[in-house]
Amino acid sequence: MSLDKLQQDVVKAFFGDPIVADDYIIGDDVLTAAQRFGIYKGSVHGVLTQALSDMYPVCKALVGDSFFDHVTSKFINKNPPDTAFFADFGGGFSHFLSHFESAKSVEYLADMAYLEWLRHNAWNSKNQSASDFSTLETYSVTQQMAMVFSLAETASLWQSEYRIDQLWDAHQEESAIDLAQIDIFEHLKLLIWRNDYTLHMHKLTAQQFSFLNAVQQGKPLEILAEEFTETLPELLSISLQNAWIRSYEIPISK
Amino acid sequence: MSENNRIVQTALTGIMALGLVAASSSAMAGKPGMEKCMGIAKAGQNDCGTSKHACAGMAKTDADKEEWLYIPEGSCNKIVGGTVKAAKPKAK
Repeated sequence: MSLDKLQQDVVKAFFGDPIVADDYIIGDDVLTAAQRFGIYKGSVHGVLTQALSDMYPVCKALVGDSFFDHVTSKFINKNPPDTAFFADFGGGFSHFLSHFESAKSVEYLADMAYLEWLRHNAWNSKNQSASDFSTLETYSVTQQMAMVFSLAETASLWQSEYRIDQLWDAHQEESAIDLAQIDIFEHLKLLIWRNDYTLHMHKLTAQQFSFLNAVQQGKPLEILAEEFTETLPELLSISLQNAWIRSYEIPISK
Repeated sequence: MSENNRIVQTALTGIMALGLVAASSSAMAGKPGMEKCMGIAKAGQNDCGTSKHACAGMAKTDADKEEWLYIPEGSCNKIVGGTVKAAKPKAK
């Protein structure tokens, strides 16, 4: 048997496929082959369960430990890690929850999972150098009009039909938000981003969301001026002051 | 001057007034003048991974001997419980 096949079979066996342990593992009088394999399998599932528990603490608090363990166990078998970067694991949990029948009674649970995933992602996204904005005046008018800004690489724009941000906040130790006072059924436009070692969430106005969305689409400054007219200077200033926008590029004209 | 051009000039003038110059937000890893100090991080305030987890901010207990923070070089040995984390040797 090739090492490649051995590895593939064992990985499949970790996540649900039956395995004849005797074909792969040597047992003895103390532990049978199946028991030995069980130790490996339990260890892998334990690590993955702990990872999900660390990534989705508010989801866990919302549904309780027992249900969370049940749903994560199902999730792990259907969605084992599939990249070499461990931080990628767990990304489909929100989608999985939205289709998990017994989780549907908590209608905002999938959205909470998505928010926690975006926070996790912001933590693990690479850092990025900021452009030098003090030299903008050195460019020609044509170059300035063609300028394209970029959001921080850690930033995600997101919309929900629930005030997930407040619900998340209310579950933090030092939160000033009273869970009972949250009006959960309110539309939310949110930006999640990381600046150095601090994660941020900011509830955006419709216009801020629309502006950052246009920036994310790579629209040049001239188009932004056309779409946002007199509000552009303020939108741009706020975005830079809060490090939502980190850099710019001037396309090379052909 | 076109209307769009006028708006762009106003926006850029506003940006330059902010005085934002190039600044890297890259991690402090390897930055001169900083060292990794183990044993002094509060729970949830560690800077990066250990054998127990892979992520900043995931320390479960205060002053865990494996958890570390970046602090100015030379400070760690002055802190009770602090141990300088040795850098891994570079692969040859």
